[in-house]
Amino acid sequence: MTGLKILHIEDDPQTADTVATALAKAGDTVTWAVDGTDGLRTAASSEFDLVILDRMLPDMSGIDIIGKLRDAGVDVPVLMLSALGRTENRIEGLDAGVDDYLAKPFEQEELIARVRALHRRASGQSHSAVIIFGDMECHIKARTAHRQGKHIALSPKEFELFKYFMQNAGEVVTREMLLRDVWNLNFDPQTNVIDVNVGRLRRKLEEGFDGAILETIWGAGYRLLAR
Amino acid sequence: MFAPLFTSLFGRFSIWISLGTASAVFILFLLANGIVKAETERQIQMAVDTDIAGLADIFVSGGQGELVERLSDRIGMIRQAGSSDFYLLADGAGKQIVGNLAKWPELSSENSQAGFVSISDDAEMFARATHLAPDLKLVVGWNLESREALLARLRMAFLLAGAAMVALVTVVGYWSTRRLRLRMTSINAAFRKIGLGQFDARVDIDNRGDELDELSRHTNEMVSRVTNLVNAHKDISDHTAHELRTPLMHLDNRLVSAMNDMTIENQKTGLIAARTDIKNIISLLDSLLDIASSNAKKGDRAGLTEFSLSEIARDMADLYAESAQELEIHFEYRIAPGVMMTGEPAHMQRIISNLLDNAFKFSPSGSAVSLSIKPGPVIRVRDNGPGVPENMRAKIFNRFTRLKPNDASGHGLGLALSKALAARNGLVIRCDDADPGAVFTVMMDSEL
Repeated sequence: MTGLKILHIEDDPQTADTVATALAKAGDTVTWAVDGTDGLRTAASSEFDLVILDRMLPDMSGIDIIGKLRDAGVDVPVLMLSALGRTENRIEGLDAGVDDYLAKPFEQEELIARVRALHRRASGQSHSAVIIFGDMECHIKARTAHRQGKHIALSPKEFELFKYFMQNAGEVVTREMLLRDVWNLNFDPQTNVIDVNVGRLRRKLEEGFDGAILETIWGAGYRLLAR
Repeated sequence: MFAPLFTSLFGRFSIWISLGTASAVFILFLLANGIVKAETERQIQMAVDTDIAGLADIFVSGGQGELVERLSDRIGMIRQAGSSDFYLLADGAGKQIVGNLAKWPELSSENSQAGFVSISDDAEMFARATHLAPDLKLVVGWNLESREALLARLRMAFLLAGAAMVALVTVVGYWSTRRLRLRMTSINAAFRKIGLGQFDARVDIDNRGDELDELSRHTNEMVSRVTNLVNAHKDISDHTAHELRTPLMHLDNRLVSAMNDMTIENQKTGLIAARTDIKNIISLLDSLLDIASSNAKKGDRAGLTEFSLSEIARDMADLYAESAQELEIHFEYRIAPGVMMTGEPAHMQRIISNLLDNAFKFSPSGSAVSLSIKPGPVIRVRDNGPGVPENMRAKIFNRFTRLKPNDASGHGLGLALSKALAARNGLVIRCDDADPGAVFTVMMDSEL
């Protein structure tokens, strides 16, 4: 994936710096707008692949900005990056029309993963009937998983998990993304239920084959590797 | 929109006013009828007495001949004019000398008896008898026909006037209560909207300066105040989160930078622990704000939707089934199909997750945990762990309460949060003995 052009609307210079540094590492270019007015003006004057939006800005709320952006015809994905990280805040943000919601503080890997996944989803790269990655195949309609041509028996939820990894193949998939997109949960359970479920899928995918294909990335999540 | 006639306060008020008016008219009629009856009787009695006294005077001054002549004249006039006076002058045996009465009525002339006597099957008269001479007696009577006609006219007048009055009162009552009802409906509609979270709803004020205007004004003031409080609550929650999370994020970033510059691995361990502490503080803050927010929203219908609890519970059971296997806990779930409820789905996910997390945390391997969902809804999570001592079963839902005082594996907020979330969804949560272990039940709040 080539570098993305990202607009970051944020009043806190330190956060702006952290975001710019993290995304620069991933090859993206970040334009910083210091408040809502500046953000809306910048969004109207140039093309961006994605907008990262703070929720509480000095001149207007991020929730208001999302409406104004959509009204102005800006339909690129919007990631809300906010200090309000409770379930209720996330649901409010998503209901207001943002495409994803990330709470501060965040891991840089998590931010990059979210930005990548959002961009991929928006550019429609994951709508094929069969997803092929390395020696794996995911048949969306038939709901079957194959590796090296061999069928791998998965439970319905395991298939959902596998499909999600295949749709985001090669990229970091975070626990929060799995919780929200596979289990439809907007909070993190106290126990390691996600790791356990991913572990079981990993065993099924790797059993009888050589080498690891589902990598754990400390503090961030997982990545499906091509073999 | 309008309450039916009998359940509406104003409908009932209208009906009672109409019934009250009808009763008042009836009582007035009874009074008037009684007075008229008594007065006419008194007047007839006086007229008869005056008449008989006059005739006695004629007898005294002019003798029997004069009296017979006068009576004959009067009877002649009565026949011509069709009047209703009766006279009878008779001898001692009651035999008619002159008069328009055929026989002597049942009245004693010896003591000048007076009273009502019948003159035919359907007519009565008031009469007085008197003794004029040893072999001469006189009776004078007045027919009551005129009085009956007067009373009949009175009845008709009251019937017509009463009907008109009841009709008028009903129309005026309906019209005025309808206005009141419309104004009350507007106040109720505003409250309904506010209950659904539309805090900009206000009651229209008619500017009549009456009690309802005052009530409307108070209502609007109260709604503004509640709105301000709700906004202030949200504002303070948001700002607390923002003002604490932002510096914590900066601190975390500094730790990350420091870690990146470090070359010796064991130096990083302390910083990793420091980052974990930051995450714990944030999670503590979020739980406290979640509890406050749920408590504030208790009873608020805004944001509640109807959803399948069975579906949510099945997904949660699915998620935890793997953990159970890994922990070697026998996890069983019995979820009744199609259990629907009105609430916030995310809250129910959180409650089930918290209860399962606890059950798994306190159950040793080899033990059993079960989740059951029944219509009601009733959510039950049972474990075979050490259970909860009886004196702690209510306390464990308080903030910062831990079963083991030195347990550092949580903030002691999980059950307090579950309780607040349950209350927000109109549910209550309780802990009982499962012998062995504990059973947590979430069900409808019967007090609601």
